[in-house]
Amino acid sequence: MSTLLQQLLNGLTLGSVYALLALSITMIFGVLGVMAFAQGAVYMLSAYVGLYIVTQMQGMSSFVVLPLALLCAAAVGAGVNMTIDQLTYRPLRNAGRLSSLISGIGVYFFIENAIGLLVGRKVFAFPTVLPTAQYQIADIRVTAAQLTVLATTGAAVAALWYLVRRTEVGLIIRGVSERAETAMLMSINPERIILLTFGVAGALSGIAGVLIGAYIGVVAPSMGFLIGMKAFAAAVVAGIGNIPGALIGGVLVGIIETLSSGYISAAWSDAIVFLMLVLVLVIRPDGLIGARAPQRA
Amino acid sequence: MSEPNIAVRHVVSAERSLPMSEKAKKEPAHAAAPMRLYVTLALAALAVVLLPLFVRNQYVFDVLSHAGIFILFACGLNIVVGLAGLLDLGYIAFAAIGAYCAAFLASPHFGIHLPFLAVIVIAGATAAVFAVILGFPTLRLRGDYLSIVTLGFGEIVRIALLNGGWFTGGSDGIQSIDRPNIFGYQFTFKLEAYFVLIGLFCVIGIGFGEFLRRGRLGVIWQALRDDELAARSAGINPLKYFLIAFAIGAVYAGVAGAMWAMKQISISPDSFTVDQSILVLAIVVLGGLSGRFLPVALSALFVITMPEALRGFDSYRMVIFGPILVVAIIVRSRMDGGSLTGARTSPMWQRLQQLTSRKMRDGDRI
Repeated sequence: MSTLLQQLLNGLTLGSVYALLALSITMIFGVLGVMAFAQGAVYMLSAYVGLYIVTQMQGMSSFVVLPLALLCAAAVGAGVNMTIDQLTYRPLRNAGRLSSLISGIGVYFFIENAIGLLVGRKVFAFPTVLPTAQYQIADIRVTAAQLTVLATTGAAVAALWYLVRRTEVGLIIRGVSERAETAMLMSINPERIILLTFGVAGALSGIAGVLIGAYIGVVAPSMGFLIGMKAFAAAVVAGIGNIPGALIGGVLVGIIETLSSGYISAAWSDAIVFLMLVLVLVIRPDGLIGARAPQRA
Repeated sequence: MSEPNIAVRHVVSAERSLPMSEKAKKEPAHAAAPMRLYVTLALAALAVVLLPLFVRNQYVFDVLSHAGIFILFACGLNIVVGLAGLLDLGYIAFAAIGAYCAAFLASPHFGIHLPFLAVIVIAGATAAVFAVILGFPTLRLRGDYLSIVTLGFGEIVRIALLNGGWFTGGSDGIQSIDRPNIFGYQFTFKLEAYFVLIGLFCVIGIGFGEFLRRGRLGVIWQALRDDELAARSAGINPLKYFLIAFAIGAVYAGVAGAMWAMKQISISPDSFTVDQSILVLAIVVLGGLSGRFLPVALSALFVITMPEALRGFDSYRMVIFGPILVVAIIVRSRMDGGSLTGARTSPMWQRLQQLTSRKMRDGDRI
């Protein structure tokens, strides 16, 4: 029982970070109807930005370093994502959705391999920035690192919720997601909203990159691929375009992953996650919550 | 945009002609491939057979054999992506299945030593079976979802091979696979023989692909790709024809994968990473996504041999192909003025087509 609870906690921590990436994928899908394949690369790039900041500021209190690293990574992630949108998605606005997907794949492989050439393909160790304290609650071991990750993702999700649900910009984003043509009749320029959404999504991916880098302790150019696919799985499992759904999907994927690596086999846990994704899509093509059916290409 | 879809009209007539007499089957207007293509292919086959008489350099044959294997991969993926419009991101998994079939059936690993042709047939058939097993539940999802699921399938196959224990040989893979023996001719370490074998398979593969594209299947695939709704209303069952495309594409990959295994003599999961799937996709996209096979084959030849010509280029390959993929897809969307799956009705495209094809056949490239 205590192992199960321990695994659930670990899964929740991992899943909360997947949820951030799933949220960025789902938001972009909402406004643009495009699966943003390059999101995993933005995440990886931001992890390197975080690593750079942390390495540069070694010796300072992690109360200063961690927020700074998160902010810088979020800013770089937002900037990179907006650039990606302008350079590679915008020329394809009226083209088929598969064109945008292929374009995103090209961007992903460019960023991953460019980073691989620039800093090497080897794995970098991430210096300790998360607090190292541990607490024993009943039989479960709760680390301060886990709490920090959960608190940070919680804050990011709360900020996103506030932006989307309580501000005028959020109302406009939701309007464009629902029907871009009608939003245009209300004299809204969808291009600006799309750009803004890419920025917000990039910032979320950036925060996720630093958190995973610091939590797992390593950074590598290839780190974005598997996690990007898991984020897709998370976004799709609950129904893509659905913001609360992405949150639930992320946590679900994280928990399935830790449970299967704990109880079945660590080597097979990734395969099990994808198998679940295939099963969900086959049984309920619109996702488990699925308010919005995917359009066919 | 409002122009009627020519492909769909064709399908209507193709479907209607089905129950009709042999006469309708004998001469569909678009089935006859132009002489030029067959002459080109025959010349290519001749060149493949004669090249070893003039070139002695083993390295050249090594590179060209490798390119040939990728020509087969690209032709197979061209059926799936270029003709049927299904984005498969885990295509290399079918090559892995073919390669491991060869490794299981023709090596000391299980002590089985089947003859070459049997291995090739079983490898192709097994890949096709896996394609149908994967395709049957997933081909109903299309577009983005299909590509994510196939991406996941590719990873599952790789993880399974990596963690298969003694059965798959784990990360070491399987070594000392038998060299082919065809009608008593035993292959040795000399690479000319592999080059001729793979080259002839390429010629057959391109020819068969063009034959399909110009036939009834090809028209139906392109109709589904261009406008699925219209094709459905013409009485076409999309799942059936998508499954056929998936299976035939997998046969290409399975056969080429088996030949890859027999040329390398050893095989490991490292050869079948997602990078390879993306590389094959880049080749197909660079081939123009028109559904035609010769440009795709030339694109494969270019993409695989170029890094060899420019030494040290290999580590930059993916860095360069990423942007090339983006530029190619943007240029293409400008050219046909529509979607990847859209009908080409823009004046620009029509003019280009008139320039490139001297004589347009009814029902030819639409």
